[in-house]
Amino acid sequence: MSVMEMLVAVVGALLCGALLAAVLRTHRPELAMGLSLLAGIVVVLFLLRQILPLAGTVRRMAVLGGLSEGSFAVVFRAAGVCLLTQIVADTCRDAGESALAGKAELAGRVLLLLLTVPLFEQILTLILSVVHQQAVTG
Amino acid sequence: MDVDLIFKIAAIGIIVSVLNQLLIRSGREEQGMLLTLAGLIVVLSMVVVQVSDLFATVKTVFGL
Repeated sequence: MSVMEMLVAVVGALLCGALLAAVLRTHRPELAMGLSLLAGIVVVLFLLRQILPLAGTVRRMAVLGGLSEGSFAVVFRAAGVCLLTQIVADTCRDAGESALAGKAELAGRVLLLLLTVPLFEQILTLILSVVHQQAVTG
Repeated sequence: MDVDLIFKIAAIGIIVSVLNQLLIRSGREEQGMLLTLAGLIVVLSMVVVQVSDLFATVKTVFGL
């Protein structure tokens, strides 16, 4: 499947989803919401399946470039958390629940913080060791 | 890409709304309500499968 075909497929699926959701919204708003959620998930699944073989290559390139495997895994996980929370927040906002969308974004931020605390700790110990060395030598 | 799922849900929605109108016109509001509920449950079960598939794919791609 070439890139142009993929683009046409994604655009077509999204436009069909939007049109059908607009048709359903006047009679069955709850089904229209399910339809838009499903259309989004179908497209994201398609894109993720295209990315899947690339993920290992990108990881190897990062290791070749001098990044450690652990810190790059954190970046990848953060991207996954962002993707999921964005989907959920957008769906909630579409359903008219902007408060719940805000909570989803808050959850994403908290989980990102939890994910990156080890990296912050590493940076802090590095800075402290540098400062300590300077204090000893100076 | 499962585009047919989108059309399936749209078809379910249209059929449910037409049948609902029919039932309401013939004076069976409670059956119309049950029909609406059944349509919602069918759609929800389809969506839940896809959501779990999405979670599994995100897990494998991003190593969560």
